[in-house]
Amino acid sequence: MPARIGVDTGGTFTDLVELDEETGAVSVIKRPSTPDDPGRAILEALRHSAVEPDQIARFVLGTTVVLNSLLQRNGARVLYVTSEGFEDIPFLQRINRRFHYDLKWVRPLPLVRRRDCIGVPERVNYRGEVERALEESDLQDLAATIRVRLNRISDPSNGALNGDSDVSPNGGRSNEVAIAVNLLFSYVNPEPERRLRDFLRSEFPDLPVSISSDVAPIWREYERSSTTLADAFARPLVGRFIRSLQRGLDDLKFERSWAVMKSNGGQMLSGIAEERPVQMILSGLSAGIIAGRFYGALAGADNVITLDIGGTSTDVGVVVDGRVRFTTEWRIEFGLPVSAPLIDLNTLGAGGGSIAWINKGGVLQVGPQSAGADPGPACYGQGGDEPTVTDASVVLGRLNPDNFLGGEVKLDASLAQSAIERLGKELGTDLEETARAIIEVTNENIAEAMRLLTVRRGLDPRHFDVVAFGGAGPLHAAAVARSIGARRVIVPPHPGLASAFGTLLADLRVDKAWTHIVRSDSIDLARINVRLDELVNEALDELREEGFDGEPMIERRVSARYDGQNYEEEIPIPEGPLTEESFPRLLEDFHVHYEGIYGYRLEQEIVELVQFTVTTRGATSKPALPPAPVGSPGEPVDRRQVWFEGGMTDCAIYRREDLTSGQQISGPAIVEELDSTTLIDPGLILSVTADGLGIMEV
Amino acid sequence: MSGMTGTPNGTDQVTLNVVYNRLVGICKEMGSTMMRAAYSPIFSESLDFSCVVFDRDGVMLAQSEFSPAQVGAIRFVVKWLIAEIGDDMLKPGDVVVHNDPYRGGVHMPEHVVIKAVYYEGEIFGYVANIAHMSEIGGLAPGGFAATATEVYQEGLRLPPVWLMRGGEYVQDIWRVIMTNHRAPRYSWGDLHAMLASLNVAERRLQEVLETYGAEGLSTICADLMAHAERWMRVEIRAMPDGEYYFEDSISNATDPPEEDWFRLRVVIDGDGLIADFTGSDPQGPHVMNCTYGVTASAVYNAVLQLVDNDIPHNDGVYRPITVIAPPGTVVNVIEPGASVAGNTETHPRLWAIVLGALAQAVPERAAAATGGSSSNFLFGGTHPDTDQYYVHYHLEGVGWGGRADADGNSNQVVPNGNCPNTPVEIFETRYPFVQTAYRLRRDSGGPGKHRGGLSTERIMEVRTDDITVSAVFNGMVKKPRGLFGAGGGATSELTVRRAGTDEFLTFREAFGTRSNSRFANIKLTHGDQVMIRTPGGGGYGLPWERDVELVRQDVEEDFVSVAVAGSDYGVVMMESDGEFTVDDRATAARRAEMLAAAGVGDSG
Amino acid sequence: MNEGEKKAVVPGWRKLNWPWWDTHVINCQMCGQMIPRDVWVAEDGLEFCTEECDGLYRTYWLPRYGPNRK
Repeated sequence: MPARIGVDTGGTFTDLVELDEETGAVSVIKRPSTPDDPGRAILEALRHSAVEPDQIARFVLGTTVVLNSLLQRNGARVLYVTSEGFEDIPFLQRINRRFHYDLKWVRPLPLVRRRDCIGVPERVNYRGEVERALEESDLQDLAATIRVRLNRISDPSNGALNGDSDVSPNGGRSNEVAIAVNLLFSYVNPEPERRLRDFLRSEFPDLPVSISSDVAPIWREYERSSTTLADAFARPLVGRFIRSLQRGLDDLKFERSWAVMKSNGGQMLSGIAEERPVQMILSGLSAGIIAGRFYGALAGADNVITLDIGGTSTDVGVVVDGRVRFTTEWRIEFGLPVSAPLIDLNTLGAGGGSIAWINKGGVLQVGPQSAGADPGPACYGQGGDEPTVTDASVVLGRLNPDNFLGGEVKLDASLAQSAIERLGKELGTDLEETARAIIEVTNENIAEAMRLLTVRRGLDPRHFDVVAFGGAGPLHAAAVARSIGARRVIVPPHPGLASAFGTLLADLRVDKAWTHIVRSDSIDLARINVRLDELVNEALDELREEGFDGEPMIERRVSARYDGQNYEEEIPIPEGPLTEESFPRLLEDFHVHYEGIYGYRLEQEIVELVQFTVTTRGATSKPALPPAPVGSPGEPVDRRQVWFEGGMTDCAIYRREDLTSGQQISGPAIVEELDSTTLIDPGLILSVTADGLGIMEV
Repeated sequence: MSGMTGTPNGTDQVTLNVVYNRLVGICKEMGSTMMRAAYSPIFSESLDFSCVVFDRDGVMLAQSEFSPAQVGAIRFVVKWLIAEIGDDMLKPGDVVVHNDPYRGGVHMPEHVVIKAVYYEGEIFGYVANIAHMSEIGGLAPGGFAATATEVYQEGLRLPPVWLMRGGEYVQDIWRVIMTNHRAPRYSWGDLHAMLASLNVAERRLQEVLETYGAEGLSTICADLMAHAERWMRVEIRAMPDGEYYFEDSISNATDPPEEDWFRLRVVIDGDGLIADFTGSDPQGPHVMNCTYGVTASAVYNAVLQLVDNDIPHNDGVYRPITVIAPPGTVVNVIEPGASVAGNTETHPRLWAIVLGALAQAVPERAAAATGGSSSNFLFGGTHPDTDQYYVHYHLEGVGWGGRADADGNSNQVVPNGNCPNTPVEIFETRYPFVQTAYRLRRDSGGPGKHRGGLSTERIMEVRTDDITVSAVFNGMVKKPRGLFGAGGGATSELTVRRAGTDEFLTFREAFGTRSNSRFANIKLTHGDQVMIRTPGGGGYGLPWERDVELVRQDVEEDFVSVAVAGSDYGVVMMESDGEFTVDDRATAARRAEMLAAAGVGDSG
Repeated sequence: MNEGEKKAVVPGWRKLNWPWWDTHVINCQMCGQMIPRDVWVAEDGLEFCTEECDGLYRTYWLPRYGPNRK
């Protein structure tokens, strides 16, 4: 029986989901992650799988490898090649500070050393015209400079520059080298960069080369350099990971191609992933939103806020009219931007392990510091004594100490209590009140992150459902949903494995962009039509390369602004070629769109078109969930005291697998399962659908 | 600490957090609206504006991460504006504007727009945006009338006037503005961006009011401010009581140049702080004078740098601080004194003076002087490609001062602002001025146990027949000060190389301007190059106590030269074939020498 | 001029009452802030922005700098 396998490797666990393509049956495997070689945990999970390698129809991977490499500054030694005179751009950055009143902030160093920034005598102007082209001798000089750097890097006698003892604060390791190329105005004219790439590849075939016009063809040289550096920084590591996993898969006699989740919610073949790490920063996280959209659709909801609460962080995403929203702005930390198409989501340091503390003003705060998996919350009994969100949930009776992660981790309630009590003493509140405050602050932090994605963008949460997953999502979902005024909470089956499941649902997706700044009063429609067709064809070719053979969806958009502005609004391009007739319609669409956001339009102004974008999508077939059991409603398996508004309350405990289609459970109640716990407040009702979803009106 | 958790009206912690975040969120959204809709890079790239929410008495409820010079002053601007015009004169849809430096503003380019927010027929509060317009008329393009001696030369001065009434344009005032600004099309677009930010904020504040009601929200806000004030008082109480005196001067670029002295006495008494500038020099016929708003902002800015950044930044946080600035002096200019550079150049000096005084009280939290110049370079002309008039306000980052526990940051905007720079690619797309280099200046950071941050060098070449430039710089003569025995940062330079010549000359040498740092309306043409070198940050602590490994890394990264590592840090290094190694024995000897020399001198 | 020579007035709030076309600004004689509409006139005729500044003048300023400031 053919099966699809989706894997999500996180910092703590590697989750594997198998989906039987015929029956829709889902089974799951959870293994501790192996951060030193993430592929090992994946292969172990595969060996535990009942599916024979030759029966695997699709294998998709979501991974935080790139994210961790950037956050932990564990990556390659990058050589940065750029226009002469501008070698310092990665260090100069954008001169603003993280907080206006914070004397303590330390500006981050770029992912490159200063002497590794090499200028070449070339220059393109803003119109894309080459003012100074590289000559053959310039190229030879560059190769010589790089060779000198490489020799020094690989010279074993050079202790200060070499190996693990290297203390450079930039983070690049010396034993792996990559090249990043960023020339001024490469987004207008990419040819000089391409020429450099071809030359460097022929001279240094072992070194990966990232060029800015491929990685991020965007206006603003610093953001482009920072993005290109991030790409190069992660390439050797990603390459090693993917090749090592490939060898393991070969050993298992798995012979098909496999795919990696992209930050934009699409997938790419593993071979392509190796060359474009910057597109997989949110590889693991984007799958969660895809899963959220799927579950929302099953419950008849087109507008969904996804809520994924894990051990150290919470990820919040939004789906509007059945569509995921995208952005191009992400940053490693303040001052180090990465610009790549990615699913718009908010990550905040609020998970089960987040630590509660009192700031200098005496106000209770939760996170972003986390006790992580080691030592973990106080109740793990591994030496942690800081009060965490998980400890608060244990104190309030919401988490069952004997059923955490399916009983794999036994929690010690007394340790949770004493940690919370210590905090309460400082706050002047009793145990329960302190625990309740921790949960409420956490919920409010999460709610605010949701407001940023909805209210702040003019989306009314009253038209949204919250899809709750991750180990702790369903525990907090009802309170958070009520706080923002959402309609319903949807709890999918296996909430803890939703991200891994999401990898099986993702479509193939290719984005292509062309920056072409042109005024509406002097536009060459024919040229644009030709280029748009080329972009569509390139994107379709890539989609086919990624193994798609169905009917693709094509979307064309252009970003525009009033002449003089520096930021654009994106609007769809009407179908068919642009003509004298359809072009004014496009402009009118812009005015209308603009007025909707800003409250005015400048009718008589010239509109500047900036970037043309083409997206092609290849839909994959979606699995059907196995139906929920039919029969008499599941009975409570236990009762215990749980804190709800008003105090400790006698509360029924159900097991998720006992719940049957159509069953309704009135709160106060708790539903426990292997990988998650659902909290049903008094007055709420959880209804079980035929697909096994749990739905609460809030 | 537990005594601080209660609030006067009993608002619970969760509500405090939620409401504060929502108010700050409104300010942020105003900011992103402004950024996206604006025409001038000073807004879209440099974000030189601040968005703030007030209650009906003009009390500041929340701000976001904007320009400290503006948020410190807007507290006065709005309170005084409402008091002056009277809220009974307003109706829904009205927007009032002014840019009068004597009415709480920081200098003429800064325009404040306010709009009353109504809820159930009553004014609940105000939303305001104070923004640095890039062209306001006056004697030189770009709003920096560097050679002005009176306010009348600095541009079009608007007292409080209605820009919109009931949602309709007040056409007379728009026509006055469009007539007096050199680039009216930009003013048109930028003023609309400001209006859009107010509209967004009005809607969002009304949404918050729908949740809590007017009375409910007022009560919560009162608690938020009480909370902030109490927290600030706890911070001040933690500083040792006493009087701390500090003085410094700034060259005022009159002819002949004179030093204007700023004298400050900080009095910390229990949980209150007085910053008393009595004794500072009288105001002069130049642009370095500060308005009251600038002086107060500089004090707030310095004090807030030293305390917990989590204090909610609302009106309460400023209440324990009293600023005394005698009218008619360099710290409180009155009509007809000019003031355009007080906000950009004098503010950082005042900031450093306040920190200099407070360093005596809390040395472990202070920092050495920053480069302290926005390095304002203004230019305008007609773009040969579009035939449109353009004008640009260009500013640069400087090195910041070393700190008790860290080096100063390099290339960072002066403390009074928090503007990003304009990217090279945007600069060249908009203006007929191309850049040939933009880089860090090696050895520009003041040597110290914690090194001052590095400053920058930028070279730009004119690509048009006719461009008019002006400049207001500072720090060309005096090095930004080091603290506790450290050296100062590099001084700034502004030079020009005329087409066809080999040498960079000062503007006095090339054009006979009376000052090298402040001049207006110089014409440049094809092939002329301008080089800007900004000032570095002062160091902190004795340089020969700097960790040898950190000095080695600085040399490895080319932040510090081998020569300076030896002469200033006492770290003797050798370069061979691009390799840098430390000579441990020679270093120990050199450092012992430096220590001995310091022992007999009066360093430290 | 010293305290004794000043004409004593009853301290209290006064409204600035200028014609609409007069846009000039006056400042507090203690802290230096603008006085937008209501002025606190002290018993010795000094004009302050608030009663607090009157108090500050007497508790902080006079002991330190003496009465001859204005």
